[in-house]
Amino acid sequence: MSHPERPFPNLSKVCWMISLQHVTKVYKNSVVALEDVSVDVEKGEFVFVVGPSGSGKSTMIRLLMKEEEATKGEVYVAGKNLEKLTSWKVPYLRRNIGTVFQDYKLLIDKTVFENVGFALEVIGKPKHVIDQRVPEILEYVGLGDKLNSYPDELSGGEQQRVSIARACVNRPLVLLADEPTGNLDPNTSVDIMRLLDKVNRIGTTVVMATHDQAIVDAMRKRVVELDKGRVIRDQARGVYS
Amino acid sequence: MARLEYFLRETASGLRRNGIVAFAAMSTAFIALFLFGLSLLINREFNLVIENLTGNVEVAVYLTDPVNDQTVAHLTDSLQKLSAVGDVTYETKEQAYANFLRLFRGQPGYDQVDPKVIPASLRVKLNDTAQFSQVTAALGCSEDANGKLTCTEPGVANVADYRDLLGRLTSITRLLSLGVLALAAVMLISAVLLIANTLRMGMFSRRKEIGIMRLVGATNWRIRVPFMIEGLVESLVGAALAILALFVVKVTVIDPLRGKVKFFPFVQNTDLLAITPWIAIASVAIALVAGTIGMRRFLDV
Repeated sequence: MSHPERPFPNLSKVCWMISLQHVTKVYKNSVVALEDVSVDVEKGEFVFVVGPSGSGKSTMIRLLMKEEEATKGEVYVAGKNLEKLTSWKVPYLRRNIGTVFQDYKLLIDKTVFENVGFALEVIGKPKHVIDQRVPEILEYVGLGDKLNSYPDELSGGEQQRVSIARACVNRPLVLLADEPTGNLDPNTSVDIMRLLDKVNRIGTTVVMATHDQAIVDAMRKRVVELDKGRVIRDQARGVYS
Repeated sequence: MARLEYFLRETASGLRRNGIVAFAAMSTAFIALFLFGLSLLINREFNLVIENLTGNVEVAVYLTDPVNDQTVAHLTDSLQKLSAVGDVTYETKEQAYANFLRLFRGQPGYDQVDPKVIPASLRVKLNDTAQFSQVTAALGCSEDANGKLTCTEPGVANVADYRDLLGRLTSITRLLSLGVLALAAVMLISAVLLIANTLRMGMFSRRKEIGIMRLVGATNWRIRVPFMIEGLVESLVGAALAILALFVVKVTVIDPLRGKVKFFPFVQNTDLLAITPWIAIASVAIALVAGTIGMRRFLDV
């Protein structure tokens, strides 16, 4: 990856994909969601962000995709200082970031193929690219035989696979997942985690906010624990608590 | 090409999905543009009437009794020389009385008027009403403190001054057409607001789709353009219907009147043709303003 503005001259040997530096986020109603949070994520890392509801996990995800802006401190994603990113450049940042949510966010009047293709279509990719990449990624997430199904014909796990396929179809550098297993039973959750691990193994940096203890403990990945907006633990190969 | 196809497809699906609301917006655009066109037509009609009146205006030079043929010839001659004067005709006392009877027949006491008090006159047609003073100057007329004209030229009793009347008529018609234009402006504004609202509702009903588009990195323009085209289509369809309706009004209402009222002009097909570009421009402006208002603050990243 390139570092056009060399954001971390003192750490130039390390290639950070994500860096939060003393980030504080205060919402308009003066709720402090994050307080002095500093986290660096290397390219290709898999990080769990854990903590109880309201601890600031979702806020962190929203900051990383510039859905919200930090009140204080700096947020870097894929070499870009998000504070300095002008609003018309935000869409181009988001093309490098895949996002997955608890509620899948699929369009019910579109087929699986159309849902995934939509993500390429609206960023102006030509039809032949869509026709080539969409079946490819759907095969990859294990839905090669469901191209023409509609979301309501699929199980929750399958719907989440579609949403992961959509997040990955443009080959993002970073995959942000906010409670991706929140609506799924434990067995299905394990399948989804296997898929996310697979996505991570091809070099995608994955940040996943969750409070699913079993999953975190099983995966033994890096764990960043938040409590009341502060980082209280940052542990490699950690467990939930 | 792929992009154009995408925009058109999105617009079509938006119109289909938003059917009833789109229909409402189209109807409002139609009514507003129809009234706008109608007000332009009325404006043209007023102008035609004014033009007609000023074109036909005659200055009456009333002659003193008894009328002398030489005086008539002399006055006709000297008036004809003026540049503002087009045509001079002599109206005898008998003709004047016949005209009087024609104009006032049926009004109480009209038959008790003595034919002798109705004066003979020279009817002077003016090429240019603004140059009315040429006539009064040639006849040696001057205005006294009460605004009454007295003339020194022998044989001339009085000159009827239509300037005042014409001036008043012009200002009344100007006021009327301004009123109609104001009405049209109100209608145009309501069309803008309705289309803006339609776009807003369209975006609201598709907020999930728009949310996903923003999530995957679609640019603002990519999201907005289909809605802009949707508004444009709605307002252009309204414009086409409005032009059609104006034509129907012209054929069914105005054409039968033509010739029924003598010397009264009516708008023609060419007048209708002349206002269509304005209707088209207004409809595009409606769509642009509605798009700007409707999408402001809605899609900011």
